[in-house]
Amino acid sequence: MSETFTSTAALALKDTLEDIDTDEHGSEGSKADVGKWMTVKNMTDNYIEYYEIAGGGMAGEKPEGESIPVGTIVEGPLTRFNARTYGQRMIVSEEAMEDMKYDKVIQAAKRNNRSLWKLVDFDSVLILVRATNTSYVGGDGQPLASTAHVLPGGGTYSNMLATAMSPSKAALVIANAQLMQMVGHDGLIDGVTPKKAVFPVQQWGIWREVLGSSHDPTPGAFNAINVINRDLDIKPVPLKYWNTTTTNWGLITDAELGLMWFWRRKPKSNTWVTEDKTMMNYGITARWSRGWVNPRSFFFSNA
Amino acid sequence: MANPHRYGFRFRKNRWGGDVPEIYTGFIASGYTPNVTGATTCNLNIGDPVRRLNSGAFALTEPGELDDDDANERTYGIVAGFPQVLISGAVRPNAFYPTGTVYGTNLNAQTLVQVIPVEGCLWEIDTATTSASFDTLAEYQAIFGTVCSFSYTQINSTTNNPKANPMAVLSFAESTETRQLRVEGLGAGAGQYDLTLANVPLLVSFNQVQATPWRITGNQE
Repeated sequence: MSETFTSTAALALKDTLEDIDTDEHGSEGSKADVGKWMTVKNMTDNYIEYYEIAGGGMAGEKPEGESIPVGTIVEGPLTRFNARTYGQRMIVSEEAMEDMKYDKVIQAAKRNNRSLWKLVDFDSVLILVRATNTSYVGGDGQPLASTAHVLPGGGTYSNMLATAMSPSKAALVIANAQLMQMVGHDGLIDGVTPKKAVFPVQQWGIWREVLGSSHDPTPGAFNAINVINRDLDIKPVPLKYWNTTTTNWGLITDAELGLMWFWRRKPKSNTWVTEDKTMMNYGITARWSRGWVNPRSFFFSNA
Repeated sequence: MANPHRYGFRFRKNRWGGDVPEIYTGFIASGYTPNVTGATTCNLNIGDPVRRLNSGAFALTEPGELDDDDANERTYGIVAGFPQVLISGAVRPNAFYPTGTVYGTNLNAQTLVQVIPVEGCLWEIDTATTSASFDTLAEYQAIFGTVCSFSYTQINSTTNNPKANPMAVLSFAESTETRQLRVEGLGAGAGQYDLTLANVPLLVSFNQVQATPWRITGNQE
């Protein structure tokens, strides 16, 4: 499990096999899910910070002759993204490189590439897996989905369904009403619009019906229009890596600075030789950080 | 998702650097049949822990046992490959050692095994079971530096290539059971793994090794 020698895949030492049954490799980056539901950006420093500022609230009446009411601003939390490095290497003997008759056996660089990009997708989906986990909080000290996100000027707001519901027209009507009254940083009703639905793949069928039917998909109400389909433009994004639940789902809104993925350095491959052992090393590393700044970008049903 | 299981002990690094582990090539006795607790009818596979007998041959290390600090629980190294195995009457490299391979007195056909000596190296090994006492990062961090043992949970017992499948036992600290391992941390990917499930990769070192510089009383295996 540590190094690849001629014995590791000994049956590939002679040209007798029809084909090699192994995982498909290639274009791993373009097949990744992360870009379908997170905003992918680059970061140029070891860490980057986002600072929340709120204010100045609602304007007020100015009685004749009196001075204009004074507004102010107040600071919120600092959210910091620290770049971490991830990687993998494979060690292959020169003899194995020379003797393996099939390209698909070792393909160390491709296997490394797959391993790292799988980690990218798993790592990104962990944000959803841990959406209500209080051990994994954002700048305001709350997990991504919370009924008590903190407003800088005092008070809280929620980005969760008060009562979790399975995906349906009714659930999205309630969710959208809550989103339309989402407060801004200053605590005033602002409103955000759902743009994407993220959910485990077990829900792909019901989401297709709820989002795609022009008429109400609810039994007994087929003559009504489906307001979700007609008035909203929500793109379904089934996430196969979100496999710790079959019932939870979330909406991604148009709020700024939501779920973000930061590349400090995209995957970079490297090869080197350990001369005294004539062993080839294939390495791949990347640096990234991920998370969110503004929880209004996400709405969760913890079903 | 169930955490994917990666087989056996995996080389992670040498404490003193070096990008490729040292290899010792030894031999396995003619007709050797691995048979230890939990792995009674298996082959030898890459990633299995082996000890060296006082005959020079390598054999599967015994798992940690109760009140039994025999030398047969001390590991020499981890199997990395089998460069020469007698298969169908002629030798060639093989990915595993088929139990009971007989080469007799013909040393040209001797079963050879590549072993990475465990001393000075850190290894990854998956946990065998789940425990409510060890299902968070804080709980795992609390056992870094303590000792544990490995056991075998044989797989493929009736089909091709039955494997001993060494895995870490979720039981730590001093015990009457022999603890061959010391927990050094969590292995690669643990940050993305579900710690409530089995197959959490532990980073371990061996504290029961055959290369100990101290004299061991009794059987010198």
